This record gives sequence, C-alpha cells and structure tokens, in this order.
Amino acid sequence: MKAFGSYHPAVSAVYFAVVIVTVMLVSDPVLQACALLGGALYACAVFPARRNLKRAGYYALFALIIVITNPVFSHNGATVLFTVGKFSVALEAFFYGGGMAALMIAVIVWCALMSEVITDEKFMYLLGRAVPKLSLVLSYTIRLAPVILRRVKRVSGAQKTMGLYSDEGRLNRIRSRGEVLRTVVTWSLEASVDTSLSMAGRGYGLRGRTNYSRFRFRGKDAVMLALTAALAAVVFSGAAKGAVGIEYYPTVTFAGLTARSAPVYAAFLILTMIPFTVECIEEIKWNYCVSKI
Amino acid sequence: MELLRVEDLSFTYPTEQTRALRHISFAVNEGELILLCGASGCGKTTLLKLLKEELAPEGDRTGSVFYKGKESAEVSRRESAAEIGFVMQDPDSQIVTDKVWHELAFGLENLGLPNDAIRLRSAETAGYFGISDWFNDSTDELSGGQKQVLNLACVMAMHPSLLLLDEPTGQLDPIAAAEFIATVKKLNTELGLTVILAEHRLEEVFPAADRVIVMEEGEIVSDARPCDTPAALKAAGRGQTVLPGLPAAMRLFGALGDGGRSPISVREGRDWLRSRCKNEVRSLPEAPCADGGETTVEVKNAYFRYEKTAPDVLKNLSLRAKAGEIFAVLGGNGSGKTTLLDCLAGLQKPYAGTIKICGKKIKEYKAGSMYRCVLSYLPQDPKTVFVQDTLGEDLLTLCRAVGLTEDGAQKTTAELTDRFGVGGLLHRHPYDLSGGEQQKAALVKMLLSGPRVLLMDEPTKGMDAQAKLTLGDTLRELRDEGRTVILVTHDIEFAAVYADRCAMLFDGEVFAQGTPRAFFSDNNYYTTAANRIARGFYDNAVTVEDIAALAEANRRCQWQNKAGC
Repeated sequence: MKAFGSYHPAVSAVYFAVVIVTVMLVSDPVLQACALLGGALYACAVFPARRNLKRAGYYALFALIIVITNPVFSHNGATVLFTVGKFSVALEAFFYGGGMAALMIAVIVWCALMSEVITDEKFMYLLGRAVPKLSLVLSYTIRLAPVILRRVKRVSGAQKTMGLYSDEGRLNRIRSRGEVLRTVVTWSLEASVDTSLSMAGRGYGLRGRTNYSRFRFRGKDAVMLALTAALAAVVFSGAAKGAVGIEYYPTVTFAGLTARSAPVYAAFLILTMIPFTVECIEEIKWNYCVSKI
Repeated sequence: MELLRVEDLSFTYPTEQTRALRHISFAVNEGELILLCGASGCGKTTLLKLLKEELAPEGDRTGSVFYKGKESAEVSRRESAAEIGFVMQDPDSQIVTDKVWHELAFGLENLGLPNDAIRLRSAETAGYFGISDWFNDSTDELSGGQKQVLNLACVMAMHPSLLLLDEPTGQLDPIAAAEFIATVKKLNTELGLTVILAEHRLEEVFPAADRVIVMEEGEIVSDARPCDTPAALKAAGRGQTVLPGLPAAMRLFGALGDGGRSPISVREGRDWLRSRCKNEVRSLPEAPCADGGETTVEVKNAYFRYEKTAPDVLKNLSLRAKAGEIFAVLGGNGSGKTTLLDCLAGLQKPYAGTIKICGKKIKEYKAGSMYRCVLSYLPQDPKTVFVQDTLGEDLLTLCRAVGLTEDGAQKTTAELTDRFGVGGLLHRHPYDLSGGEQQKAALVKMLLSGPRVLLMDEPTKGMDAQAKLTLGDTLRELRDEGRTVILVTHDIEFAAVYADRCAMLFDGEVFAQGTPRAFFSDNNYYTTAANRIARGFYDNAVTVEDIAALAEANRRCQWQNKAGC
C-alpha cells in the first residue's frame, strides 16, 4: 500500500527534493538520524521485510567500510588515537566517516523511496510539464525499445536458420552483428513511416496540442504542499543561519540541542515522518472501514 | 445523405509509369458499410489514403474527392483528423506511445481537448471496446488482436463520422480477425458509423457489407450488393483475381450455380445446398495415404519452457513428418506453434525429449551444418530474411556461406530466381519489393542451400487469394521433389486444400493428426466454411471442390437411377 504515492506528482517531487537536498547539503547528525529513521520506517511500510533486511545488511557493511577506511585518507583530527608508521589515526576521522556514511545511506534510501513513489508515468508527466515535446519522444522511445530488441532477435535467428552466420570467429561475428543491426534499422525506419502516418492521421501537429495527465490536484495535495513548504522554510532558514551543523576537524564541534536548533530539528523530524504517518493513518482508516463492514 | 463522393479520380506515383488509380467514381451514403476488395497492388490502399488528405501520397492526381459536399482540399486538417478515422494493416507500427491510456488520449491531445474531456472520452471508449482490463498496461504487452482493437478505439475516441480501414485484419489470427470485424459491424449498426473496409479475408466481411466494390488494376470493376457481386463481375468479365477469395457459399454457387441469387453466409449456403442437391452419395472415397516415405522430422515427448519457473509451452509433444509431404500444424494464438518451429529449427532447445532431423539429433549437427542441405526456416516476416542492399548480393552472400563454388552459386541462383520469377529483381533493394515478391525472394533464399526440410511460419499471412493459390502450387512442387514442408498456420482453408496431413496444437500438445479430410470432418468449430456448409449433409467434404464433386456424383447417380428405371 502506498498512500503517500497517491499525492499529485508535483507534491511528491517537491517533498523528495526538500528531504534529499537537506540531507545532502546540511551536515548534522540529528538531521541525518531523522532522515534515516523516517526513511527506514517508510521503507518498512512499502517494501517487503525480506528486502529491507537484505538492504539493511548491505548498508551496515557499507557504513563499516567507510568508517574504517576514512582514517586512512584523512589525518586532520586533533585527538590522535595511535600512529601507524608515518600516519596518525585520529578519533575525529572515525566520526567524520560515520557522518559521511549516514549521509550517503540516507540519500540512497530516500532516492529508492522516491523512485518507488514517483513512477515512470509521474516522471513523464513532470517532464511533460517542463518540456512537452520531450515527453512524447520519450514515450515513443520507451515503446520502441522492446520492439527493436525483438526485431534483432528475429533477424539473427532467421539468418542463422538460412545457413548464414554459423562460422565462428570474432571478425565474422562482428560483421554479422553489423548486418543484422543495419537490417533492423532499415526495417524500423520503414515501420516509422506508418507511425508518422498514424500520427498525422490523428491530427498530430495541429495547433494547440494539450498534454493529458491522469493526475488531479486536489485539496489534500494543497494541504500537503503547504505543510512541506512551511517545514522546508523552517529547516532552510535555520540551516542558512547556521543554527544546525557539525564540524569534525580539527575537533568535533557540535552545538547539540539548543533553542536555535530545536525548531529546525523538530521541523525536519516532522517532515521525514510524514510518509510513514500518512501510511499509518491510511492503514488505520482502512481497518476501521473493514471493521465497520 | 451523401457523405463522400469520388469523381473521376486518377492517380500516378511519381516514379511509376502506369497509373495506380484510373477514373475512380463512387459515392458513399451515411451509415453504409462498404467492402473494398481486390488483389494486392490493385490500388485499394492508394484510394483509401487519397480519401484522407493528411495521408494522401505524393503524385499526380486528377479528379476530386468530396467530403460532406466540400472538396478535400477545403476540408480543414482539424476536421479531417477528427472526422475521418484511418486504421492500417500493421497493428504494431501505428501505436505511438508506451501506455494504452496514453495512446487513447493521443489523438484527443492533438485536438487540444481539455484534461477532463479527455478523461471522460478515453474512459467511455475503453469501456465500449472492452479495453478496461488492460487500460493501464504497456502497449508492448498486448497481443496483435488487442493492438488492433486499440488502434480502432484510438480513432473512435475522436468521434469520426467516416472510418477507413485498410486490411485491418491482415496480421491477425482468424479469431481475433472475426472479433475485429464484429466490432466494426457493431459500430456500424449501433452508431450508424460509415465504414469503408478494404479486406482480403472475405468470409466474415461479405455478409456484413451493404455494398462491395471490387477493384482490379486501379479500376473499379464492380460496385454492387454482396449477393449481386458475382453476377456483376461476370457481366463485366473481370475480377478473376477476387473469385478464389469469395466466401465458400458464393464459390459453391459459382461452381454449381444456375442463376438466381447467390447465398453469402454459411447458413444461406447450407439452405441453398440442401434445396439444390441430393445426398444419396454422402462421402468421397478416402485417398490412400501415401505411405512409406522416409521420416525426416521426428519429435518424441518434447517439453519446452522459456524460463525455469514459467509454465511449459510444449508438453509431451510427439510428431513425425515424412519426406514428400506437406504437414500443417494448426492452432490458435499462444498454442506454441512458433515455439515448436523454433525448436525444430534448433533456435530453442527442449529440456526433455528428442528431436531428430533426417535421422540425426539436432545437437549432433556441428557448427550450423544442419542449415546446409538439411533444414531451412522461413520466419513469419519476410523482412527478417534479407540483410544486404540488393537481392542479388543477399543471395550471393548466402551461396558463399553454404559453400557453393562461384559457378555453382550462379547456376543455382539463376535456376531458382527464374523458377520463382524474381530474376528481374536482383538489383533491387529487398525492402523495395512488394509483399508477394518479398515472399518469393525469401523462398529462393531458403532453397539455395538445398534443404530437405522446409519450415514455414504463417506463410499465408496478409496474402490475397491469388497469391495463396500460387504459394500452394509452389509448396506442392517442393513436396513432389521429395522435400518435407512443415508449416504452422492459422489458415484453416489453406491447410484443408494443400496439406497432406494436419495436426492441431492446443496448450502445447498435439491433439489430432490426420489427412485434412479426416481431420476437419471430425471438427465442428475448428473447420473450414465449406465443411460447415456440408455438415450433416455430406460426410467428409472439407473444401468447396469436395462439395462440388459430391453434388456432381449425386447428379450422375440420379441420372443413372432414372436410366435404370
């Protein structure tokens, strides 16, 4: 179930942009923790448990590698734990590695969630709003790709059974691939004449073409957009004023929870918890409806 | 009310000497369903395209086309796009977008309709055409029949008042084709839509049409009601090319007829036969099955699936074909016919069971040696066959590949190209040939390596009646040379006439094997129109010729009885 996926594509796009940009640009452990927590909870709601466990394992391994290897590359930390030969290994380098890992994993997780919510169709819609012609070209290309692959297979099969292309040898194989490809291109060009006739026959090129979309901007979209915008305003303005953030080198300087940073943390926590909350509310509503029946 | 009028229309393509259309004149009233028939290349497509200005080919045109009283040049592009719908033959190449819902919306987007109007129209159209179940699917996942229904629905979503269909069922199997024609008929009767339909497959279309226009060499040779068409053709002394493609009842009338009104549908054919003929002699003597030929193709208990977890496409399949025999494998879409051919040709490998070609297992042939002198496979689309820039070069390349000497290559090529009448086309690009010429050239290419086993996938697809006769004769010649011809086909009528044995493939298994006469006279639904006409009257008549022979036998018998008295 993806209740959060039922919002208008533009709303989803703005939402994910805000979260991912914040995580990428503002280095702060609390924000990263919020992003990871919200992302993990939402992933639990939309992906099967097996996949989540598997991914979690990969991410843990990934984080471990970064944390361990970072000290090898950076030696700016003030708190030296021990030295190996010429190199000193500092405590700050481990922290920095941890921060890096959290950032990368959070971005990967949120990108995966985004691609789950913003489906191909929504993506095409968004693209179509920006560049109307391009979205049609893309749609045509997506449609053509499997057709062409099938043609390649059929042409090479036909040649093989007629007695061609049976000799081994790299040169022959390259040449035969080339011939097959050329045939498929000719064939596809021929077919595209029909396609262009079919387009012309249905009025392509008339003035005032519209772009149909199956998405409607409803009341709940406006509410979600407003909420996202308000929270984003709090987070961005706080980050711009330097209310949040961490420095790793030479020593770790982190203000923690202060009067200035608290609203930013709160806003971002709410923001990242939105998808999971929406999903939960939907679940409760559904169960309530079912129980009434 | 008159919707369309064509006056003295002639047309010549820029590169051609002869005119593609000559003095075409006819009128179409609102609500009529007009069938346009004639052999391939008679100008049907050119005529239809000239009726819709955006699709009109470049060339020298005289005469005029009036749509709703306006000359075609005065009809605005917007009006033409919305009001004149056009569906072509190839289901695939007409589809523009990747999703069914988007394809339905495409024309409406072009017309500039607002979002809500498009939503409503595509929804009601999808409902009417039964698309709702696959409304959200990718266009690539659809079957050929579904694609063609989608193409029709896309045009109908624009609410046209004239529908032009150019051999829309040419690439479909008989069941999908019959459904498509039924849908067109439904549009005509329920919505009063005016339809001009060009078709080769006349069995289902003829009874549905209000008028039949027959074209030959760019001319209209007859324009009459369906039942009067044979008489009109006879009076004009033309239309020999269409006669073999007429519905079985009409051909029967032609073979036995003695004037009067011709029956059209199977039902009318049944009544007509029973009123005219006796059935004291009920069955034809069964021709002795030519036995003793060497077994060239043998499949034993073969199982095949495309993926480990996918269901079996071929199940416990066994069959045997002999030298000097035409073996037809019949079956609906998705019954595994093409997969069977792929397995026989070694393009796919069954995971259990054995396939022997000329006594040897496929894997025992080393490095493609099976494709030299043993087996050749003609795929469905002749376009897949040619890879060089000219036909001559293409054939020469193959000669070299199969190890013919330069002299031998020239001799064999010359022999075969002369035999199939494509000798004059060697310098042409294979794609510039007509469909029929491509098919012949593909046959030449197939025979160059001198195969003993020929595999053919749907060889009659999209062919007109005359071309089918020619192909059938060719297949018989090849058989008489001692080759095995295995064809998979939907074309029941073709198999009934030309096959020596038929097999039916259903759900991956071979269900029945036998001579066409035995095979079809046992079937009730999956059988020829002639057999359906004769059912219950004559016992084993499967072709119009069979019925005619039986009728004649009865007449003779009656005459003898009378003489006996």
